[in-house]
Amino acid sequence: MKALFLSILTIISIFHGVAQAATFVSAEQQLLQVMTDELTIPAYRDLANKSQVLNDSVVKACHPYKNVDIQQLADLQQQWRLAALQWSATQAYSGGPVAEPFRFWNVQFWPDKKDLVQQKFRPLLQNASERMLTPEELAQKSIALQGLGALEYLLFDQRFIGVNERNERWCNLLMATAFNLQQASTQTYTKWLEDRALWLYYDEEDDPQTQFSSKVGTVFLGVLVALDVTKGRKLGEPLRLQQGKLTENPANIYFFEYWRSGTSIQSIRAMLLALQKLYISEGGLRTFLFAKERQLSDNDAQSSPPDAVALDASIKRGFESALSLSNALLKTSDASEGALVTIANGPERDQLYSLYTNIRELLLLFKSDYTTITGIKVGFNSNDGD
Amino acid sequence: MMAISRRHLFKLFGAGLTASLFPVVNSAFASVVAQPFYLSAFSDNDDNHFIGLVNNAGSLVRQWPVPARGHGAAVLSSGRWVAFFSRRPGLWLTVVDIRNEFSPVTLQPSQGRHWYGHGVFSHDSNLLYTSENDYDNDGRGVIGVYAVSTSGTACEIVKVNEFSSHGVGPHELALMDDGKTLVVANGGIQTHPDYARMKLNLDSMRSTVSFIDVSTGKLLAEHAAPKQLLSLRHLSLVGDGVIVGAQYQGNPQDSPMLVYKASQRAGLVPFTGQPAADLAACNQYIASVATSPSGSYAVTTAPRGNRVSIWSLENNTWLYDMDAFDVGGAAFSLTGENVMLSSGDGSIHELDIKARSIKELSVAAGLHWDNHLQIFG
Repeated sequence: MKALFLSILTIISIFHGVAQAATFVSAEQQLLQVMTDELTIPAYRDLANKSQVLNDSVVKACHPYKNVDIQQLADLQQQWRLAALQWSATQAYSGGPVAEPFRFWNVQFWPDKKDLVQQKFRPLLQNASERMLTPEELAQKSIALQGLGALEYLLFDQRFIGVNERNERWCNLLMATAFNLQQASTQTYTKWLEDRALWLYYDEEDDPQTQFSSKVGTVFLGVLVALDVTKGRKLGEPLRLQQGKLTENPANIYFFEYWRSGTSIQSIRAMLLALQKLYISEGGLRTFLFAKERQLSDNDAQSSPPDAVALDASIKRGFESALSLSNALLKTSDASEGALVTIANGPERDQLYSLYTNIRELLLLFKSDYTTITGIKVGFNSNDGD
Repeated sequence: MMAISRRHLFKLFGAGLTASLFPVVNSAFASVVAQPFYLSAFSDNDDNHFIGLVNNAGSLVRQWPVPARGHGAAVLSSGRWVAFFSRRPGLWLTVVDIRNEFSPVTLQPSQGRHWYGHGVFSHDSNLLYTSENDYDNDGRGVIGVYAVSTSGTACEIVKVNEFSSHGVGPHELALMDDGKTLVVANGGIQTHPDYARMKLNLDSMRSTVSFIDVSTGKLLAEHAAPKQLLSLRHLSLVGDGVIVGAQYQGNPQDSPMLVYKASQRAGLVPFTGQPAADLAACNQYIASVATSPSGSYAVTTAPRGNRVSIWSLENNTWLYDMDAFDVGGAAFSLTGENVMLSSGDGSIHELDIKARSIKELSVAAGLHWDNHLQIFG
């Protein structure tokens, strides 16, 4: 029911926006409109919905308390995967409310190099004398006890949570964590709806290109961050690359994003698909590229126009290649922790490294040629104060 | 006090000529010592990171690769050796020989510490002070003390001591003219290297400027930021104190004053006169502070607002702002009339203080200069 409410809210909001901007005053405005109404808000709406479905499923399985059997656990794991992969898709649009302190960690506490999730949950699962916790009490204990990583631990961990540990206390923690995730996802989504007008606002008296350009810069920075995080934290660090090169060092399995559930490659794929959509959608980054190239050529007839056609082909090829690589890796199946170990340290290691180099090349194309042609300026010293 | 460990020791040996990525002609050293140069960290589009030496025409004349993004530098008074710090969480410190005769050598931080990106040499060049994070003890701020010994062919640095910075998140530091008093901007923000650059204590953060006796580590004076979410981070010496630049962690609509004069006796005094619109345009963040050799002017950079602000130090007031995209580094020329400015877009500009004009000197496409620029020579 709540999911339906959220959908209606979105439709009203977007219809209002589209009606206001049937024609675009600039390529910047079109990009922001597409980004906001066609991609970001629907993506966060889907996250809120999937978190809601997961929460409902957990409540159904655990309340009133009864033993959760293998089939029910598998169903919950599947609902978790859907929510986690939807969150991965939103990472292609990483600006906006998730940039606020802790809002990101409320949905996903990661990277967790010290395995704080396990350290924080174990005493709660083991101490029979401790009373049951409300979602709020659990959230106040630690950021590590919230979000997708916390739920992944409760649903997939095989080291500390066996059949006997999936008891009433486990169910209590599972319900509290799922509820908190659903709350955090919904809050992020509703914050996007609130902020939408700010993203699309412009003063008709001022130059539309100028006043939208910093927002376009923010959107584009989100693209760079998504690719950079995938390249560095999701692949480079687990593979223990040195200066971007493979070494003899075995991969550090625990640095992969979703190592317990073996969903890491699927997560990368989900982000790439969302990013590809941002690129190829009508009015998206590809449209923007050609619009700005034309503008540049018109303004400066003397200079040789940058080759947007060649860049476009390279970017499209880059996405296809990265997605093809991730599909090939998924055929080996990374749907379990063991399979991920095999991929990371076995014959597919080179393929995983190829995925890294592929994403690195995509990132370079966006950072260099794309910014040259479009004139987008992304601050190097303004991202995070130092 | 901490024990000296051999693994804290590193040396620059006379092991032959260093291969530089950019070939340097033999006459380059003569030009290095003959005119002022500027030092800054920079990165390229493919996440390769370097220390760069720039001449006064804005051209990159020498570079040294480093493991990760660099930040601040400390120049030894002899002018030959420069210590460069990685950006927080700093996991390397590299000492380079400006003459490029000896290979740079990189030091790792001691156990449970990382650098914050800044350091300063003692006036007698025997010690190096660095800002560090004792991250497993609630982010306690620490000043690392390193013994420095140099000969014609080697520079040896050993960590010999550390003392409290009397705050959390110590960032830039400077040694007063008396050679005894260290001024430290404690940004107040707790971070942990396992959690990247996430700010862990915004609800309780407390930023201060502390004046510390370097011989004892004793706190001589401390001045807290006037707002709880104001983080004092960058500073530059002037007269009896420092000019401090801040960043603000609060509501994006707020525009607190970001530039202050701090001295032991007078405390922390805000600069005045900056119009509200210009202050708001700085977007809550000062990336670096530079003061003129004569003590007449200060310059602050605000890359989030693409602004550079010029201040009078005669009466601590604002003079004017200028636009400069992603400007971070600022360093006065030896005459104090011009300021070199470096940008994240690879450009180097020269600001003429009196003419109120900015001239682009160079653009290195695909390169990105870090926040700080330091004159050398």
